[in-house]
Amino acid sequence: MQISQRSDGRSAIRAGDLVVVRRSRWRVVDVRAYDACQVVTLSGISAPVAGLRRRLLTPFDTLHRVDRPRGIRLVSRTRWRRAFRSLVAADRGPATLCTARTAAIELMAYQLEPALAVLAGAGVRLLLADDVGLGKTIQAGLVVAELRARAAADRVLIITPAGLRDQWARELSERFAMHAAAVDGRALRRRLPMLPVGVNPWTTLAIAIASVDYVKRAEVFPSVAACAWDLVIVDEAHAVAADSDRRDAVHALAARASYVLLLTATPHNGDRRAFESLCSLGTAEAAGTNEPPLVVFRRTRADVGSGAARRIHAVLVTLTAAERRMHLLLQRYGDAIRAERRAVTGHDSFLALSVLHKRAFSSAWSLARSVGRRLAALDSSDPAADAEQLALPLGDLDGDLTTADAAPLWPAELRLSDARREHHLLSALASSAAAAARRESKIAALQRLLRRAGESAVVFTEYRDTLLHIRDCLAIGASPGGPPLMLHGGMARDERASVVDEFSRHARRILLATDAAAEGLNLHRRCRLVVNLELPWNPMRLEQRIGRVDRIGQQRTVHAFHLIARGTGEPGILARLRARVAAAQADLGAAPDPIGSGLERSLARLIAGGEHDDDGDGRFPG
Amino acid sequence: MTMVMADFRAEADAEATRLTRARALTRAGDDEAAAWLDGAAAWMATARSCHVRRAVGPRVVMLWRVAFENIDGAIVESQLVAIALASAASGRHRAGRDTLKHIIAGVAPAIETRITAVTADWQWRAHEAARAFAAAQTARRRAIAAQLAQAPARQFQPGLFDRRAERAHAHLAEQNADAAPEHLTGALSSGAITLRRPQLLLVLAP
Repeated sequence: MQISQRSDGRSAIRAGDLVVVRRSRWRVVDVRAYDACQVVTLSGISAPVAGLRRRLLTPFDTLHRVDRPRGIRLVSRTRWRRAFRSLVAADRGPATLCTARTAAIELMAYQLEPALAVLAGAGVRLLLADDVGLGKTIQAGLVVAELRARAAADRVLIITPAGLRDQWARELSERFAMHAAAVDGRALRRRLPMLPVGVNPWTTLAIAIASVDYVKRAEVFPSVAACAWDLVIVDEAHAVAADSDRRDAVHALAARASYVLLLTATPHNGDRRAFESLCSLGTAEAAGTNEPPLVVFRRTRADVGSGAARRIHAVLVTLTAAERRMHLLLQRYGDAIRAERRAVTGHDSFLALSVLHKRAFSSAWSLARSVGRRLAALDSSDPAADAEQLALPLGDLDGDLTTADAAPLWPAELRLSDARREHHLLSALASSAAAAARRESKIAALQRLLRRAGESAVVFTEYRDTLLHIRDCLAIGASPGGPPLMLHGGMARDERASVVDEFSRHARRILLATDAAAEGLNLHRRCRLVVNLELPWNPMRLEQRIGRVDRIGQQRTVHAFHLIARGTGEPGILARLRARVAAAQADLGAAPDPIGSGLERSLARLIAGGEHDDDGDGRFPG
Repeated sequence: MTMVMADFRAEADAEATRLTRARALTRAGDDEAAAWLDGAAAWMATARSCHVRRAVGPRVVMLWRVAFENIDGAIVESQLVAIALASAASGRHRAGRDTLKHIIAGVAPAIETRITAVTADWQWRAHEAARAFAAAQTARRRAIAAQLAQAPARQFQPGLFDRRAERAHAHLAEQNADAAPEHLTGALSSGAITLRRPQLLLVLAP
């Protein structure tokens, strides 16, 4: 019997049917109907295709349905036993997992919980907020596999940072035998010529993995949104929690999906508003409806009794005279700005000034570059010369690059009415920064640390220019294990993959990375040492950095070193970070938020205003 | 916004134990053999080793599968049922293979009825599980459909001479109008499961 399309549009063949295709017998595993064709997934049940899986398109391939043979057939005892063992092993109760047995995963009970919750109908929007390295990808993969096995997730969209697309595709393929397509401009350009005119290429993908920065693009978003996604997974969801076009795009996609999975190890940065924004991602609340609540899974290493020990070391670095002078001149410039702003507008410019202080904490080199650009703008006769133009993504069609680690623009608030005075102050600051950059105490401390540790290390910094400066300094100082590798937001996907591969193969010992480039990477098999050149203001970033090496499978004690400039505002930042961590812990336990949204401002006041913080004891809770 | 901290530790522990046992039971090639069986007639083998023969005695042991399928024909829940059929003949007077096949074919309808009866409890639990699974999905889809129907005209700021934003909005509104009934239809059909006829898979003859 040849199979045809039924008049009601539903496929005449169904999962479970037996068919003959190209003279071999197959069982239909899955049928996906499209406008003019169907994608049929088959599993071979006769020699020579037994056990093979193939996908074909009807009507281009002809399927002949056959009935399951009736009666009883005598087989060898070996064969009988094999089938018996498999059947008994696959036998299970209602609402239990059908794909986990054959998945290439180590069975850890806590990793099964989210999939079980979905099957039990506990919720359709899940927040997996386990500690870094507890296998959120595996848990999400299980949910995908289970939903697809029940035909409840025909189309899955995984939104992830650009650097993690290949890692996701690999994990889904190797662990769950699911083919997922990493989608970017290049992949879509390859796919389009093979499709009929007018077909949205996103609708032809069962599991698509795309970067958030690619999906949010004005020319890309409409075609992604036009596709009905059954399951949307947002990896590193904290990155889309704040009000931004990223959040708008992700929320618009997730709000139309039957299931939403939010993955982040750092859901709360101490700011309750941001946490609530994260939790509301993908809500489809409308008048007169009662949507199931967000189901939260939050397990620590202690909860699951897993993971290596972690030691946090705060290394207080004594600044050189040139560096101290640089900080002093920066403070002087800040005082002048604040005095004028207070007189004119009635408020301080702490937030704007904090940009310069962040640069100074990162490296004298990066501050020198920022101040140098400002001086060049002051010297220019063109009044618009200091207004840097936003870059168009013309050189980044695939959405690989990010500017999150690029040098920040000079804040518009930071200018004095007396241009000559401003020029004078900034010139002094620039020359002191240039002098300090010749021998930076943090970089010297880093070199000592790497030499003494004598093992692989990942060094994090916030800015790309600082990263390049460290690379040059370490190259001059003949760093152990060869010249360091670099990961930053200006590198394409292939370049990043090659760097990670080289580091994983033990080809080089030192990896320099910015947060923007290293998010989500698994480096624990290669390394256990993380060095933070400066403290990020957000505790989530700190946790994300250490989480690159502190993951399940790490056999050794993890060490994280924070280089903190003595006599500056950095010890105060450390104390405030600790308070934010405490606030986040309290809030996830439903306690009131004692910090609130004014934290950034108070932190800026602390740094730019040079206020003393009594709690700056240099320790960080492990 | 409401959220709940989930605790499925007990279920997960039980599931991990079951899966560990299931993995320990199977060897390479077992699942391929079961896949072959899926498209074949029931397989019969005879008990040869002493302890199996002692355990089976004069009985014929059959393994049946009872399953629920969803609207797309995919098996969503299944259960194995072992049936032992007492045979009066034993020793040298054992029934031949063809005789056994005839006997089994003759009693199969009665066995199917019996299996349907003895699995009533499992069927109820499977129905409940499917209902709970579908209920969450249905609530979500209803919410999406309602939200699409009420979609506000925002996110677009039309330019003075640029009608692209306006057209894009009209296109989105059209998409929403198409998608809303689709979500409602999906919501209504997502929980439907039907019981398949019990299927004989394996026979162990004395």
